Amino acid sequence: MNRKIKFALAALLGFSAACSSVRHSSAGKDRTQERVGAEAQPDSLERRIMVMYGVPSPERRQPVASEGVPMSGPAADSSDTPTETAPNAE
Amino acid sequence: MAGRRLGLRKRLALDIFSDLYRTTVAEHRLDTLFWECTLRCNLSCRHCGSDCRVDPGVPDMPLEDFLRVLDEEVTPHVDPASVLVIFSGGEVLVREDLELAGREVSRRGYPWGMVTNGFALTERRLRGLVDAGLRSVSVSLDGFEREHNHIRCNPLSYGRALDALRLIVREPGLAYDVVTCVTGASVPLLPEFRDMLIAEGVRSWRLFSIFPVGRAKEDPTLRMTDAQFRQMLEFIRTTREEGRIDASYACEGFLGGYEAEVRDQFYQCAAGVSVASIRVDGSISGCTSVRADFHQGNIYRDRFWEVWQNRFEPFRNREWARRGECADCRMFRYCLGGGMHLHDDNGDLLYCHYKRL
Repeated sequence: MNRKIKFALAALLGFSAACSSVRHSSAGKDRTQERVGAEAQPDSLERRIMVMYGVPSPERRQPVASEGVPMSGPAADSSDTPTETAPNAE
Repeated sequence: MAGRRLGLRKRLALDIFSDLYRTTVAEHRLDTLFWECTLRCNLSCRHCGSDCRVDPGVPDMPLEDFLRVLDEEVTPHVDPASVLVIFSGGEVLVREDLELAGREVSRRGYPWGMVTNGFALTERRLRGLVDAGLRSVSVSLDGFEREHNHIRCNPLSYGRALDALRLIVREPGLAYDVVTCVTGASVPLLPEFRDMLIAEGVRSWRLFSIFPVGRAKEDPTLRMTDAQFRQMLEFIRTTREEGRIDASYACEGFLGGYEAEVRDQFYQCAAGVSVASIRVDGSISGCTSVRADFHQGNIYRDRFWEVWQNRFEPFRNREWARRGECADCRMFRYCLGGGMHLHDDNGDLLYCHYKRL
């Protein structure tokens, strides 16, 4: 069964969010994790599972200062920063 | 009460999830890399799974050794922005070069976070870490003063952790959560503790049970009875329904009818599937919570990326776990023997979450 259909079925059953951690898989594509770019999912940080001894996923990539260190604070907020998804949002 | 029972709808969804999960395993896309940078700790907690202490007798890993692995073995194969580096210990704040480490990791494009007991986190230290690119932090707070200080074996630990939490909550743009190891004694206090966290402005809270590894193995009083375990899950479920704080149970084990009700996602163990760790001695493994010897290589002998791509078989094919009490369990298809950290050096399961329900 096609992956999209499986996700649609999971959503129909009311468990779309519960399956979100496996959504980034790219079945059929090259299994090697490629350097920078095309295959990288922009929201992969948000979808990672929070593991034991781990930390919450940071919000989407912040603007990077010239020396390469992400800026912090309100000035770093950008319009594409996603709003946090509520738990169990289906 | 949800208990063990799985309704038809949830069972169907779990079947779909299990099918999709197999693709995730086949891909084993690295998305989290732990660096166990030290085993030194400024506390000596009763429940420490790593058996950390002030002088663990193991030297810290030099920063340049970790950076060499990043530069030569990881960065050429990944988009750094999609791999979260987590500094783990021991207590990471005992490292005086933590800010330098963060800055170097950030400079290479990786987001990074850390886990801390908060004991040594001052406003100045936090500012330095945030300036070095700190994006996410978890702070341990195991209950009110009496329970926390008892577990942490230090009369100042609660006050320091709370002070640290107050600093973190005020820091804009920093992801964080509070992690709480729940004991039998703390279960009745959870509602009051939750209300305190909410009053402090905490939005995200993760609850753990204590598993019998490291020093925790020696103190059975830290563990919950099965009834207390169910009470904790029921508490998390109702807290999530109320929606005042994002509470969740740790990723530890399969929870039957509680699946998707006490966590955002269905149970899965990501160790060795999307999560790797580099231990203080250079060992390469899954999550740092896996204390048993499932090491797959060592950065001082092996090439990390080659190990990640071609080893990790015990993490990615869990059929070996279908034995003992798991041998004829109908839930094995969903839980695959539970979290890797719940297995001992022989691969035996320390305890089953599902059977506690």
